[in-house]
Amino acid sequence: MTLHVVLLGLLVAFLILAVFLTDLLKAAIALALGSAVLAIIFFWFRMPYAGVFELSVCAGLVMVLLVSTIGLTRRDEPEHEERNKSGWLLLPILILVAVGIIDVVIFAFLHTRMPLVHSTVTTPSFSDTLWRVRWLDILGQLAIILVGVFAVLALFRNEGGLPGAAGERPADEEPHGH
Amino acid sequence: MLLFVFLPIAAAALIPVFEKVWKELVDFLANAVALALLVLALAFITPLRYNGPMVLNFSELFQFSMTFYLDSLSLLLLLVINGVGLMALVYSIEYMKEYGGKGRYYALFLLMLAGMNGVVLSHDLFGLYVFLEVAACSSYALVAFGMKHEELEAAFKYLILAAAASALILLSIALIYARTGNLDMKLVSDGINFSLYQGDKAIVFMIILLVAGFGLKMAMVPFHAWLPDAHPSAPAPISAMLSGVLIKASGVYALMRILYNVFGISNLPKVGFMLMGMGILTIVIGGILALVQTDYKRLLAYSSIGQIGYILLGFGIGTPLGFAGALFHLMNHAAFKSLLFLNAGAVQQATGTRDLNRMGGLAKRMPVTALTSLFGSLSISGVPPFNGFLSKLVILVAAIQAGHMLGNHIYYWYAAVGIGFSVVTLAYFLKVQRKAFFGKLNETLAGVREVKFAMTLPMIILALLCLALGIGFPWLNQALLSPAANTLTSLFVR
Repeated sequence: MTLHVVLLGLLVAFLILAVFLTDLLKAAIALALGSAVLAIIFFWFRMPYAGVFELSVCAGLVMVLLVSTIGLTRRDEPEHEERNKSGWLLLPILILVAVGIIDVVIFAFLHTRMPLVHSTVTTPSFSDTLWRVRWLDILGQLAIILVGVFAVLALFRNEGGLPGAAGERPADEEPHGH
Repeated sequence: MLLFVFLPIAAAALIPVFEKVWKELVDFLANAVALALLVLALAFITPLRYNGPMVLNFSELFQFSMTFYLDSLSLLLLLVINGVGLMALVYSIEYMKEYGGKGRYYALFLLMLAGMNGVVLSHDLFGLYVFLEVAACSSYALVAFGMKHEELEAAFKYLILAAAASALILLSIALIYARTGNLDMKLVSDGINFSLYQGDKAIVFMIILLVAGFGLKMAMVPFHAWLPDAHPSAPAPISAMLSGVLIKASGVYALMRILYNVFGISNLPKVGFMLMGMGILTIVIGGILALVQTDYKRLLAYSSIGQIGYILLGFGIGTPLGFAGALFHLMNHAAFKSLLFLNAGAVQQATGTRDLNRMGGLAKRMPVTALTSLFGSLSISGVPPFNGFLSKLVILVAAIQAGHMLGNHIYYWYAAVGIGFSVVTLAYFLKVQRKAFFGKLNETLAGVREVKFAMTLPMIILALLCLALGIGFPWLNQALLSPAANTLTSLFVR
């Protein structure tokens, strides 16, 4: 088994854990670990810029935002955790299927059929890439961070007092089509 | 040009600060920014007509190598986005009072506007993706803004499916970069077309990913499952923005721009046929599902799916007339669907329900809402002289014309289905009129009163716009639609 399959397996395992764990803090930690493994994969494939960003933004900044948000919540009743235990049996199968799909489709199939043209592209330096070539992306990412902050502030607001807010559902407002 | 993105982002960052100092100021500030963006877009009509497409190359200004590109197609979308955005913001002044957190609402709204403006101006595929995400992330939060169970559930479903769409789009962009070594649309276009003539099968895979990804964003059947939950659950002005603008900027515009200007699919008739087929399927499924709804806003959401089908049909035909019809219907749908969602919001706020079976006779109590809703219903059903009649007519004439030129009878069948489902649209909107506004007044609604002026004003403007766009079609076609349609007939030239 090659190292890239091991890393891929770890990445998929951490990300599936992030989805399955009902404890938000543990899920956030699993996500951060997944990001760290992804950063290693980026370095492994000689993409240091992507690796640096993945490590600093996704494993660092996003983790801080998530933990801060989780700090605003309170723990739910434990009955929810009991209910989802059967789902854990599917975990190893899900990991194997996901790794198989990614390894076969992306690495084996597409990689060999997508002729890369890196030889024709001159790679600018890190600072040039960040501050000149992809400057608008920074503006876009700034906007996304603002969206995240305002979304958290909006969804945890106390004003308004709408009937049926914060999880209650009035009798005449059943959701449709499920 | 940079102001289209920078101004709403800057205002979004400042509004919550101003809210702490002077609460009423945020209404003014958010609306002033939207008005400024609309005026800015209008100011570009004449220069663009005489000077052709404009390129803002940051390397000339600040030594940044990324570009913004403004042509007639981008301008048309900017007018639609910022026009409907302004109407929704005016409506929000009164409507959002009961929700609270207005500063945060305006901030998210303006970020959504910035994202959509960025999508239509970006000349870089990854830049387009980033702005797509700015608009999408803001819309997830805005759908959930009311914080009821239904809204949170709809926002979660929307988030999951839109994230899947984003993953498909990002994978396609990664493959395009791997194949061409570029993200600039013009340079990618050169690389892609070189490959196309070499019979590169990878291009087909990229197109499939893009159609699936953007198809999810625009709620094309069979990728439509998220829309009937997300759009009705959001606050009314957000429903108007999502149905009226977001699915078009993030879905239809982005897909057509990439397919026609970057991939040059005019050379691939099979892709056009696929788009037409998907369009017809979307018209039929959306129309049938809308017909059986009794929830006012849910009916409008399914109707949006059906109308997206007409736009896809027009684009799939691939002739300048088809493009003009599709773009006109895109513009018209933004006007009448945002109007109809604002009507539904007014009715819901006044009566406390969205169930059509619990309404009746509201025209006596809410005359402005009833009359503007009638304008919107007649427009979307394709009744002359309203705008919907002309845009559907142009699409159907384009289909018949293409069938005649190519000697292919399937185009005639597509036109027939288009006409048939226009009648279906009329049927379900007559149901809305009959159940909500006409007939005997429901006793429980005796105390209902018309909504306030800040909410009726945008409805009146949009209703008049539905009539004006129909009557002013010749001017509109010459000034905006034909130049915008022509941009899609060839690859990017800069």
